[in-house]
Amino acid sequence: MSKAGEDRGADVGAESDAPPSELRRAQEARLLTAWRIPKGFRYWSEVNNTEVGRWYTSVAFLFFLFGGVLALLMRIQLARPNNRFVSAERYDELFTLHGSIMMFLFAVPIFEAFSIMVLPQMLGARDLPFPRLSAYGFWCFLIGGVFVCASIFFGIAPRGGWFMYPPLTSRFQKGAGADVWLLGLSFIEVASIAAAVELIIGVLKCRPPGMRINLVPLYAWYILVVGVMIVFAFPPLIAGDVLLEVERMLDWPFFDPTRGGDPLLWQHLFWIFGHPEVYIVFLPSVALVATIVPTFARTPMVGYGWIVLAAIGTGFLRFGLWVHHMFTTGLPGVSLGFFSAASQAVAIPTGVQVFCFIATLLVGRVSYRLPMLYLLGGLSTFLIGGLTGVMVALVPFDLQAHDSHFVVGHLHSVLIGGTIFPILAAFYYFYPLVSGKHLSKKLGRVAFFLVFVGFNVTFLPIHLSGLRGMPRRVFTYPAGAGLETLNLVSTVGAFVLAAGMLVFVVDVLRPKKKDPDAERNPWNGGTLEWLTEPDKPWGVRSVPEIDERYPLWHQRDFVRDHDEGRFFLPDAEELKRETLLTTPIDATPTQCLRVGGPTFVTHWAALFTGGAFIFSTFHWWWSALASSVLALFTILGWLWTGTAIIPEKAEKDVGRGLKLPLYVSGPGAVGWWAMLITMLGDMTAFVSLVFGYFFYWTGHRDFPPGSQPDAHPGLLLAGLGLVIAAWIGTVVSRRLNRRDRGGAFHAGTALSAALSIAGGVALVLSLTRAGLDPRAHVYGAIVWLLVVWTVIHVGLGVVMHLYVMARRIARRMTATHDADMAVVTLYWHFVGLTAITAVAVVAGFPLAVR
Amino acid sequence: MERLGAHGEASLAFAVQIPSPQSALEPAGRDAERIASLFPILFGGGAAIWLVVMGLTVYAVVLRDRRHQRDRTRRWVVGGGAFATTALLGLLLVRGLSAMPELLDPGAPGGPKIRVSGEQWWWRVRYELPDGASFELANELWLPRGRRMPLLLESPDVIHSFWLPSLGGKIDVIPGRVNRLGLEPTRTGTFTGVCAEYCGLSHARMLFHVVVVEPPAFEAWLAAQRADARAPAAVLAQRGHLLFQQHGCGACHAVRGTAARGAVGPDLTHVGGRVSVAAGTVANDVAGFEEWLARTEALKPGVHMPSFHMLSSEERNALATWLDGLQ
Amino acid sequence: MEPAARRDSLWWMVVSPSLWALHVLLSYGTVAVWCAKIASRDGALDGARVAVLVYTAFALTGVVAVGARGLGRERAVATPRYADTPGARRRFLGYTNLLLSALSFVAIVFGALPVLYLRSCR
Repeated sequence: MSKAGEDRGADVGAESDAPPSELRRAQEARLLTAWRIPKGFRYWSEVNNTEVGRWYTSVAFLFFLFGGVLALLMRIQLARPNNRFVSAERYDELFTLHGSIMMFLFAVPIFEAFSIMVLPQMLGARDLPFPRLSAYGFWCFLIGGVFVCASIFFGIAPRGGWFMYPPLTSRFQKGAGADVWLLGLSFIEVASIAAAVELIIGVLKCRPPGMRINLVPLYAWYILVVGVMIVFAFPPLIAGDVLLEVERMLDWPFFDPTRGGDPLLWQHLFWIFGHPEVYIVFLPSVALVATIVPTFARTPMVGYGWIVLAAIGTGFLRFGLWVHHMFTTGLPGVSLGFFSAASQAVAIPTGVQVFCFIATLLVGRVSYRLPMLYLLGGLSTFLIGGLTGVMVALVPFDLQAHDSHFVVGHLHSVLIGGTIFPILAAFYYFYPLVSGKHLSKKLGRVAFFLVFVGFNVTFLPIHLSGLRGMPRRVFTYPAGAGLETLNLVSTVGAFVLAAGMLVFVVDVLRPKKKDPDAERNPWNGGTLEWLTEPDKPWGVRSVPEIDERYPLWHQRDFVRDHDEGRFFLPDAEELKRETLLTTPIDATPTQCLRVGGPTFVTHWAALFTGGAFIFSTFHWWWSALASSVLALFTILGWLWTGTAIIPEKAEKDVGRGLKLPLYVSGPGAVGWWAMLITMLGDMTAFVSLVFGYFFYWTGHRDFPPGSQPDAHPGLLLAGLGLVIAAWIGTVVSRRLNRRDRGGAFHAGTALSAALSIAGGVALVLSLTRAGLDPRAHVYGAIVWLLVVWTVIHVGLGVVMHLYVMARRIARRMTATHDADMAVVTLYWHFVGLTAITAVAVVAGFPLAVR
Repeated sequence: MERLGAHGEASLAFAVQIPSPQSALEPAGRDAERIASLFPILFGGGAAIWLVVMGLTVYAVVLRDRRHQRDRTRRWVVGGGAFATTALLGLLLVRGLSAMPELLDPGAPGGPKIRVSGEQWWWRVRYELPDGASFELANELWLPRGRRMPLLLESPDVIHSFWLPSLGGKIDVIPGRVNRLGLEPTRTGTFTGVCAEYCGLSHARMLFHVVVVEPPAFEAWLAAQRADARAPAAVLAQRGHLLFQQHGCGACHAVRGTAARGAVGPDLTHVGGRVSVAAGTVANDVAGFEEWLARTEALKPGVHMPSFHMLSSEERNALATWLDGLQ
Repeated sequence: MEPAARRDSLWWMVVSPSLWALHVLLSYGTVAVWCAKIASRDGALDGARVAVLVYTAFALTGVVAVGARGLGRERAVATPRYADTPGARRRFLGYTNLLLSALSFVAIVFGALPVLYLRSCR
């Protein structure tokens, strides 16, 4: 129990207004029924953030250990020159999988997993708004991750490096390895975006009443920024994946220079994703530091506003760094200069964060506990990485360091110092919150020193071997170049580091039945997650009202009021899982949101989605198609039964005399926000493809090339006209539904669907009629892709038309309860925008240039 | 892990040792010197910053009871941190930018034009002389000391990166593009370069050597390289030449002055005079050639050249003797 | 309670950084097109340099305006930024906008420096 709560609870005689204890017990029984975790095999149908977060974290950590073992194998191979421990081919698989696993299966997922687990607690919410979406994301992650990892045991592991540069990966490596990478990881990227949508909405809409934007926990600020960055950073990679996979499967020459393609386009798209990715991985760990430091300094964070500045500033600036991975590609020097400048600028907010942490330590009275040790080790390591990062951001230095082992040293300092150490600190810090027990202090110290010493012994020499001319991704190196000792030392260090991780794993896995239970708030933290009692499934007993940044330190009787259910939603009268929604700025309550409970539909959906991707890897087209159709219908079934449910009453008393609606439609609804954010990501992918079109233009003297026909302009315009008509039809249909004119609504929606289909057909005809061959030249390929992209979106729009018509017929959608229609209309705005852009580029640009 | 070492079983050590420098820390060219002049600033400054920040942190953690006043600490630490960081980074950026124009100078045209083509997994080097003549060699460049030589780099297959730490930085070699790199050696000697961009199985076996000589020696070398291969005098070497023709080596390799005109693999006209064989894979002597012919794939995984292990060791010896004699 | 503090928008936070992003993209795009389509490989940057400096002037003006607006709001009330009132929230948002504008300002100035040192398409 919080010290503040304890001290103050005694001298305030407010017992009189406490709910009677029998009422409290009844409330708790009802809450327990609503939030009960299923037993037996049905346990796995649970979707609550705590359980899903726990599984998610564990699986991500398992992938981390697997990736670490791969690294050890590489270090054995490099222990001496001309070693024969593994073959060149195997070595290529090892470093490809090591990088891919650490980035896609560990670093990003573990932060999402951690946030799914802890964020609702920090916000005093019972769950995130879409628990089933989190669960779906987790199962996708598990299937995709196992698929990618297992590939090495079946001889189909990717060998293109985690960056997968074509044309090596498009035409010069045999086998399905590249497809495993492209499809397996795209599948996981989709899950990552889903989780990001969930977390963004979580921070904006699921805060407790009174938690204004200036009182939000710093962790949540970082998660908000990172979530937004994922939504804008992953889609360019997905666009790149689409291009590369289409080239591999259909021979559309996006990256083939002999037919007008350009390998550099991949590098742009990959690094527009890849550099933000580094910060996507790093910022959540800073978020953990910003959570842990004030607790041990026993004082609020110094420079809250500065930290927010740093989070948002980094979030933006990191999008201006991508070309610094391309300093040696021969771009004009000025272009390199722009990105060198941004790379220097991004160090400013990073410096600010470090200094805020130091200031907090200076101001507070530091309680020097185990997690602090990890944070200090992390800072020391991260600083090395940050300083070498400033070095490689300088173009002249990078001309030497780029793609050498120096960069290997740099990036591991950043990622191990900036990510692994804080994550380990967080494990020690949050372990009591999640399991009610402490990890061992003794083992924790041993693990720390092994990891810290091991890290430095491994990676400091690697910087030097890089400057001595050792390039990256070599399976061996010649003797006599001054690299032998350095590499041997690194290998020894890697095993020390691994021994440290082993001690940590032993500590986590050892049975702790005999250990004493941890106190409820063992470190005396000030933020809401410490209200949680690990043995209670509901998260918070009542959703608190906040008026401080550290309510557990500063608000009177806070824990008592929470425990006695004096805040909001102390009860679950209808035995349904509920949480509060509030406004993004001032956190005024707006809705009592009912969230989904345990289900297996998410598993089926994940299985079929996974099937669609995995079967495609092996070119089993019919199975892939069947799996996609099953996935579509499973997801539709899930939406049908689980979303936009019309409640039995319009409003509900949530306590303290507050009545809130149970159903909200339009811009106030979380579903609407989810669609908006998803479509912003979707537009980003589309814009990446349009960027590709203009990139080809700048790279060619002759683009659109004289040798290739253009799409038929008349049919393109006709197609666009029909799609716009369908868009308008959708908007009008929504109004008709609002006015409860059922017949007119059905007619309008059906007409919109018909117009959409006609429009899609016209768009495709504009290409086939013109005889534009996507395989002959990249011009045809990119034009085809832009049109097909548009047509697929129109097609999904038709599915949505049919869905809302069915909803209306089944009385699951009415004039007043039209959340589905609001979401579909929003989707159609984006389809309209996509179609207009695509046609403007495909039809308009050749006219302007030719 | 059942296949671990399947390839490795046969792949023996590099026979060639690398005595020639390949370190960015020992510059022997104008660009490498310019970049190395940044090292003291970067590493010294970096170490100083690390010490200050860690010192401050440890001080803050150790100092448990004497708390600092909140507002003043914020002003000094946060504001100072932001301003000092900005100022330092600004200075560094300016220093970096001002060094760029010279580093990006591709060198003056006029002398021989040097074309380098990165191919899986070797470097095709072509000198085009002002008088219109040209010749090709592999995995080796000669440069005159004191003159900035322009290199034109391209690739017919995948992306490679031409990195010569001793003389300058690196430049990627990208299919569909011609990139440029100026090199200006300041010391004579032999230097090792590597491929820095992962380019497939034998990425690690794509070394090259740069020999820097005084300008007169450079002119002499150019003249020697232009010449055709000399016909072998010794019987063994003559037999080697015959085997070369019989086994169709000329389909891929050219030896100027003989019937061999292949353009797929390295030009072997003066192969015996080069520093190493097969892009730094084996030493350039008879034994090296023999080993290479016998265990081609094992030495260089994925290599396009077939192994000639079916030849008898005498035949391989004859071939090796002829090749080694192509000085 | 502060009467003027009712409505606020989170969108103001992204204005200054977006101006920076626009500045980078425009500068990069202009140079890319200039060097690919107008100038030769060793050609001078003339027009592109002028364009980048013009973008810089516009971007800096915008950032300063947003920063001034933020400063005004930060100065408007005396409530501490960690208080639970609409005025504190407004002050906090103003302060954040001010800091983000300052960072964007520096980043834009950094971003304009390359055209002062590099004058060709090399």
